[in-house]
Amino acid sequence: MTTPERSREPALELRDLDVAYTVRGKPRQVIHGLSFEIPQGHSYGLVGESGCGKSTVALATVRYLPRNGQVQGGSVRIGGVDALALNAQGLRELRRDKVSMVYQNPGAALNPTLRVGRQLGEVFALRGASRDEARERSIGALREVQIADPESVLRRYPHQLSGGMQQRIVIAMALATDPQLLILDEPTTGLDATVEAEVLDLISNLKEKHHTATLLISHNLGIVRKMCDRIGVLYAGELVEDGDVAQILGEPRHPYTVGLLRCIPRAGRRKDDGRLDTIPGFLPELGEEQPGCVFVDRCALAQDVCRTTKPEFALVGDGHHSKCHFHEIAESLPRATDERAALTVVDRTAEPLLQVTDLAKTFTQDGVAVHALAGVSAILHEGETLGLVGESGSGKTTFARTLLGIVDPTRGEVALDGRRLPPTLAARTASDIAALQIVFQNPDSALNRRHTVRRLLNRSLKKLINLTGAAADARSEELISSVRLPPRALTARPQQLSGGQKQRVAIARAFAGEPRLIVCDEPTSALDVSVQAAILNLLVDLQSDRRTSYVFISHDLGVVRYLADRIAVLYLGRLMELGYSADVFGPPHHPYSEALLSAVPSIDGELRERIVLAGEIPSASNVPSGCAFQTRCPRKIGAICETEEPPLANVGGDHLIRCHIPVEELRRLQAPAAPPAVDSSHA
Amino acid sequence: MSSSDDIVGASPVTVGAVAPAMRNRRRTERRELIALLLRSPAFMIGMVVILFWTVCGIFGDRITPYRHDEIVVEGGNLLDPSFRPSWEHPFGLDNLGRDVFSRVLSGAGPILAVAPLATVIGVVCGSILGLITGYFGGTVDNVVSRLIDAVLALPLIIIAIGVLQSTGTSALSLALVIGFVFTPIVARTVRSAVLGERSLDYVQAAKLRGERAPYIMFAEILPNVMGPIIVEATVRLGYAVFALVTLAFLGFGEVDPSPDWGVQIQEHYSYIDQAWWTVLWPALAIASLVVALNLVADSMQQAVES
Amino acid sequence: MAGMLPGDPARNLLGREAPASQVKELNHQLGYDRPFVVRYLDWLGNFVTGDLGKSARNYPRPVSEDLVPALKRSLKLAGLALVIIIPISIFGGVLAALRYGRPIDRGITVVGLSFAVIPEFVHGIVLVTIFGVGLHWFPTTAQSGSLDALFLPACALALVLFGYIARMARAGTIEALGADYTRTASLKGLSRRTVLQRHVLRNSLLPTITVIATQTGYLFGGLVAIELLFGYPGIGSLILQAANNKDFPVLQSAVLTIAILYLVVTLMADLLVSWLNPRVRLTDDV
Repeated sequence: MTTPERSREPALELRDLDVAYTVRGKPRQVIHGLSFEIPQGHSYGLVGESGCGKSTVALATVRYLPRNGQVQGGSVRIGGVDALALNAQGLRELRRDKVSMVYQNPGAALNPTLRVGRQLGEVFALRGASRDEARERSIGALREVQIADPESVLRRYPHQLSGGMQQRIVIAMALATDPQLLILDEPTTGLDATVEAEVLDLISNLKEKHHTATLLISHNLGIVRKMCDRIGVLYAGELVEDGDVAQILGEPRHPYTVGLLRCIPRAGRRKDDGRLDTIPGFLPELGEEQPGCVFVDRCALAQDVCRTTKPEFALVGDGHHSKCHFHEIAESLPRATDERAALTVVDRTAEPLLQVTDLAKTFTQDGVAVHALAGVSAILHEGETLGLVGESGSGKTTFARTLLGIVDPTRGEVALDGRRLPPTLAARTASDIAALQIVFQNPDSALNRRHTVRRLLNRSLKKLINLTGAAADARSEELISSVRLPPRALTARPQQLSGGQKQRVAIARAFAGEPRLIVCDEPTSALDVSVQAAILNLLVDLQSDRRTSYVFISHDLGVVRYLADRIAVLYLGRLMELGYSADVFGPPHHPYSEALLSAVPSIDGELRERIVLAGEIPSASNVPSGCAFQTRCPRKIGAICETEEPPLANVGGDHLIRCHIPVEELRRLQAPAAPPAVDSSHA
Repeated sequence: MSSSDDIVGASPVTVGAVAPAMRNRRRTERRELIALLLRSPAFMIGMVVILFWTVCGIFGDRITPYRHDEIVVEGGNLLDPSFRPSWEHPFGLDNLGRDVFSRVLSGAGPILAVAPLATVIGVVCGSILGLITGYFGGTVDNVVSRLIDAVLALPLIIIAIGVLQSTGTSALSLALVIGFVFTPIVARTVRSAVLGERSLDYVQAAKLRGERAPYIMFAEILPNVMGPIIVEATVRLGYAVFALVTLAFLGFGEVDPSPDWGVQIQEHYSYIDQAWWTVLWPALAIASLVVALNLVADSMQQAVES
Repeated sequence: MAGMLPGDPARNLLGREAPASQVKELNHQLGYDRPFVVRYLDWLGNFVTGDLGKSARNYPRPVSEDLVPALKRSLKLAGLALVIIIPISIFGGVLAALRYGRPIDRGITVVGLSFAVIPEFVHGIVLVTIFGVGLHWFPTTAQSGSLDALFLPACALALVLFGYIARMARAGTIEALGADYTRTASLKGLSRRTVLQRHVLRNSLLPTITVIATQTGYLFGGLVAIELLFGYPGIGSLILQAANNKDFPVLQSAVLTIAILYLVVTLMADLLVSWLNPRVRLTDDV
């Protein structure tokens, strides 16, 4: 494909952009004085936590702000064209030819009542193609995004396709017109890790091929590192730092960036290595006027000048800007949380706290049997954390539910302190119920919004350990202070609390009945990175104080590695690997664990060749014969993988792997110097 | 002990910023709601009209120029020019020579006596039914929903006629019939609100405390669906008036000399060509009351949503 | 159902003074001395084969002789009402959505909801007073059955429906306007008109169809009052008369007919929606 004529102007140039939303009659500024540029063919990553305004930047660029949003100042130039000055016709042409957008939730981005072919063909028809031409070019576009059998996909409706396929189609539509600028707003949120990796690779390849400049908006620094040349850090609507990837990640020059990088568990860091740092305080209120630096209330380096004068977005290095009065000493930002680790010593010689034997659950949905969990066994000691890792359909949620008694298993047992627990919640005693508790992913839905915090806690105390009256009040106060909330939080309702505060209340509630085990189901996935760090620290501290065990479920491998002592890797309801986190995270380990790890983009370490998994995750109602992973395994050795399910074998030191490949062979194949796994074009 | 993140900030300003923020928000929440309502012209107009009719209904004959059953002109008929609207009788006289203006004013009384009762019956029964079907789901929900669908297949007026045929038309039977007919409608609304709540994690959390079904339904879920229930109740009140006057018009209302608007229209509609004033004013009175109720209901829903 | 209502059919027919033996004889002839369940099942069986029994009031006049023409007349009236109001409501709803937040949106919504809660006969009286008695544009009764005479009663019936249909059209359009797929379409560079027609309206009108079907239930209910007001001998009038006369065979048959009609309409609407909504029509496969 020939590279079309491109102007030498930058693909995107934003100068002093101001955007405001009118809320309840008053305009509140959301973006202040934003300036950056993206040269032709380059890629720029815009990172920030929730509420920083990243999506607003994208919408303002294509002039698709919601009804109550306006650009109040500044300029947006795309390929040299002033986007803000265009009339309706000009804007349509700009959108048609020069800029395209891809965003999260591809299912919603496609019209459910039109066939894929029609929607894709529209793009070509706009450029004057006839119906047949449009169809031909649509087929070509689908081939380019590596969709096999494009003709049949064209005839389908969006809901008949998987999330990964849908996103490929959206990407095909975006790149069909060869735009100068491609904007990607969290394009892989919600997709499984392995699918995400494929989509990102696809985008990388295509943007190379078409020489398209990209603006990637994400909260995930790992993805931005992998995909972009330069990074811009957005905080409360202002760009506080920008530079190339090495500069931002290696020599950050703004306290916020420094803090952010310290919050994330990096380079295989574990809880024993020390607490994560946190960023104290809150985001400023939307639209509040800030005479000084926007970060001043949370910055440990703040001086008077920071409060009175807004810092310049100054050049501090080669193409490296920072908006800080004290950027030279940014990296010396004192820690907000001390580094001392809270250690829990786990006695592995004692009776295990929890013993799960052959737990299985099959659901019937529309007459089809869905094998959500297919015989999982595990042991957990007091004070230990078991991390559960797996993609969708892995069965980790079902495992947690059967453990707790919310769902009764098809077979298998759960034993607490050697005593068998009745499978259903209704049959369990109050003390059994109090012993196993849960912290949910979404604190908004986990707390009853009409109840005060005190009522929430007192009720748990009453039902779980029969504590009422003044004793209960006293205990509630203890619980609240143990999760580091002030006593006045007791009189608050959930709406008055922030996400992090709500999650602390949820944790306090889980601890009310003095549980032996708490299931943490993605407890920090809905929270910002800085808040996540504080919650993880809290969980570690509470564990060391009370010797509570955790079953920790998360899709974020860095977080699991930080927190968990032992890790279980699940795939289609089966346990593929179980071992200490160091064992599971490094060779020799199961090929699925290997692929999963290579799929997740990380901030540190070398950019390795990613292991490609063929196909999509099979449905739990149609599990492959033999080894469940054989349809996608890059290390499949032959027919035995298709006919026989490998046993879960102990390969030494409490490390269990379910694979036909002997561990010595795995060790050899997965050694760092060894050639990467071959694609599944096997004999 | 290490400093926490959310509360103790690096500088005192942060702590101060947190405390008032938490306390203010609760009081302003309720105040903002009321302020929003008071600012809404729909709400104010509606409340004024409702209050007007309530006063008329309570005081009735004590404030009208003539008593509702007082015959002003003996032995005349509608074709007499004196029966037409005039300065003395701005709404004219009805077929028995009674002042229409007075009758229209007192007409609010019989209606406002029964409508709220019917509404309460319907809302309470419907809410309980909705809570039960929404929470339990499964066969209970299936069976009851089918029954509700079957009942709602018939227009409510027709059901009401059918039942009132045998029970007679006392205030109580009217309230019961209308309440009965409203129950499935309210149940449907409450059920869908409950379904929305049931999927939230706090319900799971309650089960994981060992809470029993009645507690979860009434102490956990009900407070969260009160908003939709209240809005539905105000809407139902409007429709209770609707049903009452329609039944009166069809002959299933109170009897003469009741000044009930529907009864007035029922007695005079065949004279519409010759004596339009005997039906138009009661009709407009009905319209004003139901529209006012609806405006209040709608503005409350808007306020709750925003 | 109606057979359970108290009131002795034969006594009603023969009057108070008739001797008891005659009443008993007539009841036996009419079959009213059989157990209730037997009577009901028998009647249901007959209904299905088209034999609706005989009127208790005008015995031995068959029910169908009155019911079928009455039904036809009502269908004519109801049809006219739907034809008038459906296009206007949809247009109003979509317009309100496109001008969201502006006065015309609020206006259409408030007017629509107000009309929805005003009883049909009140609409009728106001319309008749203004357009019939005042302006003499239309006749004040519908007995002639001509289109001219049916216009006012049809409007009176239809105005009640405007509010809910417009509201659903508005809600559906607002949701579609804010949806991600509309954003995708706009950002492709399509013209506003194409985005509206091909992407927005296709999705917004689906739920509206369901609402229209449920509203026909209210339409049938409104027939009773409107036919009384305008003196139109349709099925509504028939039901009212039958209830007043305690003519149970007629009442039962008429009520069941309406129920069946309503179920048929909703079923057709469900089928239509399923057919138009690919998510329901086609099963998932990857």
